[in-house]
Amino acid sequence: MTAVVPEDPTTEMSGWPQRLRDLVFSGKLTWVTLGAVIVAEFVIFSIAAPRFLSTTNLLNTGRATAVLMIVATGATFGLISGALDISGASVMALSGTIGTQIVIAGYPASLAILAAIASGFGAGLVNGFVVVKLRVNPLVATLGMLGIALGLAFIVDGGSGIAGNLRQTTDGAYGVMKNDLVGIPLPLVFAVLFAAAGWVLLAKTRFGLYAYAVGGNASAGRSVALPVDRLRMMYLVFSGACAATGGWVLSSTLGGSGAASVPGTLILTVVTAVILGGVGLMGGTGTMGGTILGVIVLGVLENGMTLAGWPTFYQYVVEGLLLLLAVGLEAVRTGGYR
Amino acid sequence: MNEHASPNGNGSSRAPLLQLRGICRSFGHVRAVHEVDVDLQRNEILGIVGDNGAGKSTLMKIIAGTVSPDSGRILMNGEPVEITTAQDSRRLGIEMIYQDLALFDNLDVAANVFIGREPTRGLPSLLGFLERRRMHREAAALLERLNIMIGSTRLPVGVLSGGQRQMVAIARAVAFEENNHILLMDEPSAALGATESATVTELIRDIRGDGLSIMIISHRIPEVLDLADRVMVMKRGEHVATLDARSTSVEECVNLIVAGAPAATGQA
Ligand SMILES: Nc1ncnc2c1ncn2[C@@H]1O[C@H](COP(=O)(O)OP(=O)(O)O)[C@@H](O)[C@H]1O
Ligand SMILES: [Mg+2]
Repeated sequence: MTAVVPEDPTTEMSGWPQRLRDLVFSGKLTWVTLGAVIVAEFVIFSIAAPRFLSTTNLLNTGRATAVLMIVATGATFGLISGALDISGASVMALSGTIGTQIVIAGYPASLAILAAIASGFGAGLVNGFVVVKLRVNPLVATLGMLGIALGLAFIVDGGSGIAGNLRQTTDGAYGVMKNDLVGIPLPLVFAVLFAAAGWVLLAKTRFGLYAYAVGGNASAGRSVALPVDRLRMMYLVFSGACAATGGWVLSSTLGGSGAASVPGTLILTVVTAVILGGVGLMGGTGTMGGTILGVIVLGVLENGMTLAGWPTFYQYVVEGLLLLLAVGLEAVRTGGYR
Repeated sequence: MNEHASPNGNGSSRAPLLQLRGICRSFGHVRAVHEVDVDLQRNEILGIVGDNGAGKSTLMKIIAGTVSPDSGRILMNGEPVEITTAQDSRRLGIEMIYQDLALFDNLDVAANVFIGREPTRGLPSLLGFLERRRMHREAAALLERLNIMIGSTRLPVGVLSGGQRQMVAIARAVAFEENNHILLMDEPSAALGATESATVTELIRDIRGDGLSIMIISHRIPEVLDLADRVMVMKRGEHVATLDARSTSVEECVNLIVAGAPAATGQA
């Protein structure tokens, strides 16, 4: 066992090899690549669709992408901590439907918003319990929640899938996200602040550091006395709460919503954005910066392809291919699935 | 190589720092640890040797709180203590360096040293802001004090060599010395080459300061005899004998490890 120890990687290197190594390990290479992809998208779509570069369209893209950003923030924490949470789109539907029905029933908007987001806490708690206490694979646990939350959403709106009487939800404070702030869509403003807060939380706080720790080596976490189970549960609760917040933002933008207002493939977009952004499937790696760029790549892609006249079903194919590409690249980097 | 006075003749009649009494732990039908008594004196290095599966790691994990005993008592300074979690043992000043090192390859050196005890400011607890600059400064100072050569505390531990990883694990275990009484090391040089292993031995010798007592598991008998004050031999979960490291020989140790024998007079 003596010969395997390589020469000291920390003192031998200098100059550009060291800088290249730093670049790879800091995740900044992902950022550079994604930045280039976004530039390429802008070039291609501005040629394919002249309207693409208009201010109105860019702001619309921002509005449409805001929800994706919010849900992806939660999914980033979940996946870094080692749990791929695929219940997000269903939790969004549940959250928006609960909020809408509470407003329709005549209660104040503040209560509706609170209840909507609380539903995400609840879903996250159940996910966390199933993963941590029953030791179920997170993908399977959240697949169960994907069904449960969507089913509950239909139960809450009476099986119609639509909001019902929209007047209260549209006019009141619940629908605040339909408005602009100094010309910028409110959902976009909210999502930017949300992502910034997520960035700070992930990069600067204990909560963020421990996501990397339990995702990187849970058994080491136990050895050094981290409350690993409680932490893993918290990241799933956080993910659920983010999804529910995204659900309310979408519902508010629509002026009320039912169970059918969240496209089922949204979770494909969320997962693709997060993995494209460099969050490893095995947990322990990734950054909010990467997720933000991944979200922009997909938001611009959807908008650009729509403007260029590509039907939605082509977009699904492209997104699916992108997901496979991102996972494939990760597999090459880490030595693949074992 | 024993400039330290015999830890047994401590002058005062104070109780040993750590005492285990009648510790048992089974996994199914396997008696991993059976009726083990051990004493660890202040400022002592106690070696633990034995074949694979003798129960050495399990015994250590019981002290560290990551494995719970089926029966038995643990006393510190003569007082019974309750160790049911890793938090408990850390609070009592017990640090363990695991055989697998328990490092986070994806985190940098400073984060690995401070994990679970990061300095923060602003909000309390989990939402506290990490004082990263302070972590790097203090981690670098710690590495320098321990003569550990690692280019930067910003390197992820995953890129370090085996010896450097071992050093980081040791640095983490001794980082918080005000509260650091007992260091448990499970085969610290098992995965290392000769040179690196010598460096680690040197480091262990260095950190044996006031108030630091060490239990060390190793397969390298000569190394243990060189480093330790006393050597405890385990076989099939039982404490076979405890030998004075100065007066025993490699042959005697190996014989006991292989053949086993009823515990000699006097207890560890
Ligand atoms: N978590 C566990 N589950 C089942 N058996 C275990 C476990 N840990 C240890 N053992 C068994 O207990 C015995 C002692 O193991 P261990 O303490 O690791 O020995 P050593 O460190 O001396 O090699 C072995 O037979 C081992 O297989
Ligand atoms: Mg062992």
